[in-house]
Amino acid sequence: MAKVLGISAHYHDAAAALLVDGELVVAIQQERLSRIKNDPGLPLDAADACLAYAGVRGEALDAVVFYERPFDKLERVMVNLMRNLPRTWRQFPRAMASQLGDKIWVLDQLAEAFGQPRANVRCFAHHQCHAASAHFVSRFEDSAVLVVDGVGEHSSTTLWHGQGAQLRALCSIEFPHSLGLLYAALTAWLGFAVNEGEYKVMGLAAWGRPGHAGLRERFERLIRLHDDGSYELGLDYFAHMSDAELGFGPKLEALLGPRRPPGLAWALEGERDQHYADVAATLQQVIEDALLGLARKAKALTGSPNLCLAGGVALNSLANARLAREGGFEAVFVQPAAGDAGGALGAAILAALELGDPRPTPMLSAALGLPVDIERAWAVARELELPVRRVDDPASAAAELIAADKIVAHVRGRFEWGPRALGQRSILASAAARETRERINRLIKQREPFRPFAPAVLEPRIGEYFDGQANDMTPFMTTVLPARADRSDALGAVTHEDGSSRVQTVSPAGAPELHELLVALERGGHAPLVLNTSLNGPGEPIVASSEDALGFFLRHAVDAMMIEDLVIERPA
Amino acid sequence: MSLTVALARMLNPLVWRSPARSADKLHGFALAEHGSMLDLRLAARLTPSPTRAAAYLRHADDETRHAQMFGKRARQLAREAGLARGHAVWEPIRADSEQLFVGLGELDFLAFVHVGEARAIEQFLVYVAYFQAQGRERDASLLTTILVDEHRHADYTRALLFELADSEAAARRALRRVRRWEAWRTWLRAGRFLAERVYMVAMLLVYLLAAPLGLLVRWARPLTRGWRDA
Repeated sequence: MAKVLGISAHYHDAAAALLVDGELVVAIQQERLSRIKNDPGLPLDAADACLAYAGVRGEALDAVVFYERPFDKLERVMVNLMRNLPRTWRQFPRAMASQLGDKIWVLDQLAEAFGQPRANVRCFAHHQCHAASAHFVSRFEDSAVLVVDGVGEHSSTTLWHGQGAQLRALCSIEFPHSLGLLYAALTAWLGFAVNEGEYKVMGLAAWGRPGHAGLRERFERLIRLHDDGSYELGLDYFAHMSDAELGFGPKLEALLGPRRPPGLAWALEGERDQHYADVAATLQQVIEDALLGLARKAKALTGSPNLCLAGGVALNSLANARLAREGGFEAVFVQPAAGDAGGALGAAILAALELGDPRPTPMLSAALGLPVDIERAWAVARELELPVRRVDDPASAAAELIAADKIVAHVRGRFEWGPRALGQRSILASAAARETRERINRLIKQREPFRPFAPAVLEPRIGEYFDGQANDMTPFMTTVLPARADRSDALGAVTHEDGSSRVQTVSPAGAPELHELLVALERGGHAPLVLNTSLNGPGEPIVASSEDALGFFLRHAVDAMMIEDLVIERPA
Repeated sequence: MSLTVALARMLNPLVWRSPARSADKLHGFALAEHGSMLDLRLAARLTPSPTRAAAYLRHADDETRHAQMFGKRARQLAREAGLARGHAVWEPIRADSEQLFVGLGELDFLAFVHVGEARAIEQFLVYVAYFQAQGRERDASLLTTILVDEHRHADYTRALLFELADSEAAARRALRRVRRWEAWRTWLRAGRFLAERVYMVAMLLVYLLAAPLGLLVRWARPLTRGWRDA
């Protein structure tokens, strides 16, 4: 029986996850504490917070595990720099400084930080950690596991077979061929920040016409999909071998047109932005086709009825929905932190299994972070002279506010693991009126006009509003379902341009506080359904602590904030 | 006249000489305000006093607003200057946190913030006078607006510093300690700046020397395509 701390860091979305006796006790992304979006730094704050929450001292850990093999990664970086001489001359000094100055020493840094003998600090391969983070917390005894991201040490795509507490590598596709880097290059070409704007590309895709004006043929030069499920990038169009930041080369601009300037306001009724939307739609279609090919290969190799997905590309909820429909599997699972943060979880599980612990129980809830300190929230709110009061029934109080068309910041329970707000740190509002969505956008989120908002619905009621049933992904918002056209009255604020919704199904086990709220709404004669978007302003990480929440209330014009049983209402 | 004021006056014509340079400078201010916001948010979370937490949160809120105001004006100037879309000014405003509250402790953190705010006031007053003399009313008005907050920040941090310190002498010692620490940090930063340049040159030489390895790597480690068995 062991205490194991998993760590992911040094690329993006650094995180820590703590397993005690094989069970996941707490998992935290560094950005929630540092308040730096996608913080890549060594997550010592997150790790310390995990240990403090579990009451474990660093010295008492049985293992500290890193989600990547630093020297394998160094080798890939070096080989790539040498192979692409002389184009890599700009990248070389920076890459060397980053690798030799910091990254290869990470295991020693971890040993020192947690007072551990160096022998207790170990590492596993990047994709193995991703695969472990998916299969071992799924409910499946047997699953095919597909990992797709930018790149780990060498691999960008890997297939695995998970059986009970075993995980077996099957085959891989290696860098520089990478679906993640294709998506990153197009994200940059569309004028969005890489590792952050990918959701925007997915949202934009619904406004475009896939394959319009020969785009599909042009994409065939960017990526060739083979019958055996593998793929190959047209490397001449990309620059990720020689430019870590931009990812695409002049040939891509010659093929698709000039890059969209970052930060320019969107006008989708215009021809120019319609072209960018068409490219996004075509990219989405190509990614889905590629993932389907990979999933079919995984099915053929494993014969498993279940599929687990991990890696940054697994956060593409549209593609996940298509895999669930057409992949040939009975069930598909994507854990909420499928990106690099999830590597911390996978690393911890792999070490715990090696130390003889059992496989963790299935992940039912993403509320794995820290709770708020209510007394502190009360004291600070009073000092800020905010009109704070306590209520006996916070769920009913929040439901009444939402029923009265108020926009409510909802801070209850432990904060979420992964990039989705799932009711613990959410902005909630009525899902019915489209104007609510526009109000949230104008006052708080300032998102591009094409980006959708998601609904959260009581799990047993899902069929009343959406064409489909709850599945392994819906509690974590990692898939989409079509909104029922005959219920558009209830779904005006949460239906995307293509008629889909990235719906969250809410159960008492997954999000108890949000469940109580939806039950209270239904009890009051309203639809058990809310608009649920993350509690953060533009460019900010999602709120974690009570101080973050109060800071958010000062800055953003929500009508009310619930912090556990505290209510703060903004005067009309 | 303080060194800050003298330097600001001397460098004004250089720093603000064109819309492009002005955009750079204001973008730098936006980053500084964003970094300060991160430090204040952390301080709000870590201080044991709800009263000081509230003060830090209000201050952090101001810094967020200032960062947005500076960033917006920097982008307006960048547009006037026709700065390339790849320029940093177009990127989202993102700074790193120095975690000063953790590194310095609350007393020195307050001293540090106070010293920084007081210095900003001195600089901004010089800039405002310069902008007014140049007829740049928009920039003068931006800084004048922010100066109101900076005065408030300098006042409250001084009050909290003297309240938190055991004695007036202890507060003054903290102010001196922080000034020495800042000077040392500036010295280290200068050393780092120089070392980075030396390193770049050295690594480019290494790169040239390693060129033959490029051929070897292409022969020994060719690119793979398609599936590779585990």
